[in-house]
Amino acid sequence: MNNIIKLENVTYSAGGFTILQDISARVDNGDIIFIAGRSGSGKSSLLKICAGLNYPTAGDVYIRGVSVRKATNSQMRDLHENNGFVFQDCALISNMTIYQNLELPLRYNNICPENEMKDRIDAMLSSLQLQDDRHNRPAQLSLGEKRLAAIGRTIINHPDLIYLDEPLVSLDSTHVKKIVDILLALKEKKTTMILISHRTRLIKDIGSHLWIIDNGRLSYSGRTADQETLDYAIQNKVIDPY
Amino acid sequence: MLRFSGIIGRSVIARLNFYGGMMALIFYSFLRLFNPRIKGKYYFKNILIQQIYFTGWQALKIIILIALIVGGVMIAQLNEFLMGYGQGKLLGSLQVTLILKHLAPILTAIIIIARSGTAIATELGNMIEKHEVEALETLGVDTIYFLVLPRILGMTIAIFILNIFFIFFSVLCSFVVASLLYDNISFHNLVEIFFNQLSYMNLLETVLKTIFSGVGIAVICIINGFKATSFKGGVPVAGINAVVGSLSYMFLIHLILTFIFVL
Repeated sequence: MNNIIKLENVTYSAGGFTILQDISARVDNGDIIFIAGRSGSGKSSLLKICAGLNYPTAGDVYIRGVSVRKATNSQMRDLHENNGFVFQDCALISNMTIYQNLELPLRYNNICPENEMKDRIDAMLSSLQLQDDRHNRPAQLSLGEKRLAAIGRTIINHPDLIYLDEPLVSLDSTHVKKIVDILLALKEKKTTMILISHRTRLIKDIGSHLWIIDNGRLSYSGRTADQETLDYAIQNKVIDPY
Repeated sequence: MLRFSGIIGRSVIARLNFYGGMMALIFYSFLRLFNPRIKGKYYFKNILIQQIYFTGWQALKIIILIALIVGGVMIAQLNEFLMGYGQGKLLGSLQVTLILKHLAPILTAIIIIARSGTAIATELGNMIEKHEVEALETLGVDTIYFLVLPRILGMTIAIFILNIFFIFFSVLCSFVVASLLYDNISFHNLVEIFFNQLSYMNLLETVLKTIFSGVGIAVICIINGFKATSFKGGVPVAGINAVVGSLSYMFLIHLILTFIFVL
């Protein structure tokens, strides 16, 4: 089975509104999917549907062959253990330090012994240049530092499937470069990723496919290697023109 | 008339739904205690200890202070009242019964609701708003075992221990005040009366009131915290609803248990 995620006629409604309508798509191992669209088109909802965080109102989502609608809570937790999700607002646990946030996925799931855990966290903090913030709480960090810490928490247990919701939004160029370097490294390791972003340069450098969401429908799906895909997206003003 | 009965009906159904949700949450939370392979025991123990510390240890001073005041004031007022009817001999047993079965469970619960109930509701409400609970789910964390169960157990254990302190200090103060102020009352006699009142039924009533209060208050605050984003006013309204809901529940359960033991 090459596809890691499969969406079959997915419809998602919340609060009396239909947010996604009849979406069918698949993500293969190693794909890097970019989701683009105007504000309110349903991008974040689609990302969460793909991650199994939201349940479809109709249709089904299969993650590694497991139906999200039929899976038990325990099965979903097992799935999540091998995936990673970076939220746009970082979602670091506010009453834990940065060190404790990075430690959480390792210690909770008993990923490695104690001494290896400490080494892994120290190495991650060092690579993210957050060593001095290890004992700080998220509120004491800048947005860029929080975003880096959130990515660090997500990748510290080496998941092979990662979801990122606007990882570069509102960041300065220094932090953008750091995160892009991380994404390039993940691409080298053939990590499957689904990202929301409208940065054309990032889509061209990293992405394999582009999905365009318009009013809750998957209006376009194409390979980023095809200039036609990028031209279509730029023309419809869902990604940057440069 | 029809519209009014519809409003009442919907309100009753909403209330029943809420209490049904409470029962389900309690059941699924405690079920995790019987799963030997559950992950996250390190975090469960740490959060449980933190909850007992915050809810119990940090509230101890205020509990002792209120207990001393209540004990001292009550004995003086009761003595004046009972002596007027020539029933001074009932003072000790009435004092102990009122403190043991009613004042200690109620006043302890009120203090805990004000301190810890709002804290739990606002903390969880903020976690929901900032997507921290979703983030925990994406890390494969069992949020009931990580967030809910330690708070339920922590609050129940803390309320139980604080109740004991309340009873002890309230009764002690009342006996000291009585033996100092009134010549006809001896400390030794009052202590004897106290131990006579510690019957199995009286203790069972106190323990049940404490446990039902602890579990119920924790669950109501947790549910309101998790529902924070559905309230128009957000987290602050969740805090208010948690306090009001907990107070209503606490008085209701106190009433029900009192009548069960009286009848």
